[in-house]
Amino acid sequence: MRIRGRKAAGLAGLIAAGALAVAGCGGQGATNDSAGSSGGGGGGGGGGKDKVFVALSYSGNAWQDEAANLALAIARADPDVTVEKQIAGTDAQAQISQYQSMIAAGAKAIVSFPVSPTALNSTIRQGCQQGVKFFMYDATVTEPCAWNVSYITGAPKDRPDQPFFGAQTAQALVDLLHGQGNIFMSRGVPGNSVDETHYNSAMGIFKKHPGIHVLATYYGMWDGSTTQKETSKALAAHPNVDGIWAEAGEAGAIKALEAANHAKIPVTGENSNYFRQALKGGWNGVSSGSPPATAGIAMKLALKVLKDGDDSVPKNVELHLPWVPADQVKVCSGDAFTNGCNVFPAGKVPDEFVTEIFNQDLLPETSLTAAQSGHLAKGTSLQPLPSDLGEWTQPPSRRYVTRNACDDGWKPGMLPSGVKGCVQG
Amino acid sequence: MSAQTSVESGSAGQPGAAGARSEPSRLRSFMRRPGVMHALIVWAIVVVAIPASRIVSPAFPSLNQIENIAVLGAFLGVAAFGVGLVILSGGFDLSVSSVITASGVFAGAYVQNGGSTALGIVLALLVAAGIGACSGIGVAYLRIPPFIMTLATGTIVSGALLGLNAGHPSRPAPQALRDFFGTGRLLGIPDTIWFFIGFVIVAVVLQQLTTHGRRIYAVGNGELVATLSGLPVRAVTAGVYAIAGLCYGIAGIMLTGYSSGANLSLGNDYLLPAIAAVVVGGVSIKGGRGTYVGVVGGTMLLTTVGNDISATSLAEGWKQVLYGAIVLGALVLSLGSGESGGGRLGLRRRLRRQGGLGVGPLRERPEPVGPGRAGPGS
Repeated sequence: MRIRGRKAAGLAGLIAAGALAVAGCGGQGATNDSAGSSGGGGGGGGGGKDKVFVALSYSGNAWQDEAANLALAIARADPDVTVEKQIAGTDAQAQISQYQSMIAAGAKAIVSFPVSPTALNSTIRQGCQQGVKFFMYDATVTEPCAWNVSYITGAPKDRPDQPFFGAQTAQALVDLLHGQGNIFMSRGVPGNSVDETHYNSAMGIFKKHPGIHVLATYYGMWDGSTTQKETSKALAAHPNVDGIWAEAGEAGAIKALEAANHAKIPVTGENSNYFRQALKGGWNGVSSGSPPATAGIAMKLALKVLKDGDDSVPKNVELHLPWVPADQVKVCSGDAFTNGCNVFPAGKVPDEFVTEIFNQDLLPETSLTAAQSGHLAKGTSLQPLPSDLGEWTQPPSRRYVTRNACDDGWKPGMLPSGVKGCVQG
Repeated sequence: MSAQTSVESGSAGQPGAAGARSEPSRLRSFMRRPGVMHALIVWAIVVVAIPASRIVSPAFPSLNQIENIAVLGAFLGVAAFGVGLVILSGGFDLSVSSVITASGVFAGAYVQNGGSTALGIVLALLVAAGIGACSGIGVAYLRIPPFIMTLATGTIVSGALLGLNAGHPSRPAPQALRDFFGTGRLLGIPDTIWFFIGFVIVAVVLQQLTTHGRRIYAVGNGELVATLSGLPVRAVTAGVYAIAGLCYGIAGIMLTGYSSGANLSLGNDYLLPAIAAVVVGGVSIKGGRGTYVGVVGGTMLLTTVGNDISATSLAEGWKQVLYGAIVLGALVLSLGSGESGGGRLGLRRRLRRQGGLGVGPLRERPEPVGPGRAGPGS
């Protein structure tokens, strides 16, 4: 009996410890983040302030954390709202239940990285009917009442008619290889709609160039470490590679090439600090892809809708595709992208830190501090959005990619880049 | 007392009472040690599998391929030693991924905040061993089933990491770690491989030639019998989990250096492959039987298969199906052979075989308890 008693006590202690840890964790995720900018908002009622939630997918990935921090920093700088952060992981059910809790808790706006483009729709619709504003950043949802704020269908600022990360980086790689060469394709997360869009639009370009041979295609899971291992495996099997097309995690592709003492071949990828440093250091290629700034912009748009109404911002916001070729990489001396600089010195931030945390037009108030801590730098305040957001409104032809439907007067059809979009008629 | 003596002396790798033995007899005796034959078979398959990789890529076999398998296998191999010890002792550990991550993130965060690299690594390893010790205490002293205890530990650790990391983007690796596990080479061979060779030597000595190692086998073969033999079973069990935690910690440090940083998903890919490598390597899932040399073979075999499948032009879904099928096949074969080699018997069955408690249980038991025991014929 004594042993049983001790066992029970031990088990109870363990469960209590677990509960405390989880509560502490939730506290970090929810309670600690629930103060308004004045610091006096508190977790509960918030003194009549609007409740805004940041609902991200998972924590621990540089992109996700920077994005969440930027959204939090913007919300905390607004004296009229309180903000809480919640983390769903990659489970749509968990995010659905979080949304439901947020709606029940009286949320006015939910700014979220959606785990699924469709699984959350009915919950979002319920929330919309209760007046909650949903702003999705980076990944998108097909539910029409939610705002989508994403670069997925975006084009470089100076080439607005050339959209899609996959297609543009594929074309850049083809150009760097003069239309001839063996390549690897380092994809993201299998089954994810963003990865599919990137891959399909890239393949649309590669298929037009018979001199390009895809030697290996693997999934780097948008993670530098996984990409490094997978690239290293592919290199062992195919040492004759001439170029790599990569989604996020591209720093790992460079590291694998470096570890194998491989020649500096052209690599296209996303926006990690290590990759841009590599481009500065003699590697050829283009840095493009998903900017974490998107989350901060989504929060600014949400705050604007809370103040000025639903029609004050477009429902389908499309951000420009960052585009930094090797010859345009410039190292910053301070904490901001000023004077055309676009990469931090090595050692100032982790290798996987995603550099695109600034947006001069829509998010000028952010800083390295905001991306790392979730608070705007001292002396910085919220800046108004441009009065005309037309430049950042998604063209109807790309709507199908994010909404799985076309506007009135448009019907589904293939776009020149090989992606299914909308055509007039 | 006499029973304990029988465990300690009988498993010391000596031929026992038979002082003078011919060489063929020693070899036969060595080969009959549990797990030895299995380890040899696994290594033989590895040796065949590497040149057979040519089927999937004309660039195989090559030194690059072998180097790549050894480097990627090293991370898994270090973690698998910990998992293997736990399984050998009759336990199980589901906290592998969390502890790998905890170690890497702790070391990265400590150095990022101005701490010294050496101290950061030592503290990270202590944290990892401490987490393992917590699991061990729960299993050994509170009698919580290992599945539950290590699942709880892993969950608490990953939750605590999430909280303590406070939304901070990935932690950079200290420069020394990047240089060593990332790009460093000695005599043209990556430092990671040299490190792993050293680790394997230490691990084999610990497992096969030390008293603690032999006690782990004894506990894995039968906790009650080991207790009756006078072994400090609880301390041994708790110690096993602590050593396992330390191994996961080392793997975390290695991975941090290799990847030049640590994020909260650092160890995600290692739980199931580590368990698979242990079982494929010939460690009985029931405990008490197996060798680390076999586990390293299992690690290299799984890594070779993984590399080969990556080199195929199959769609990702089919790659995963194929990998899963091969691992399943290897596990079924290993488990099948594990049944024949002994493993843990039920107490009642064991006592029946031994004719009761009072007849020198370990000396007369029909199945051997560890690699050092010469087997039934000794």
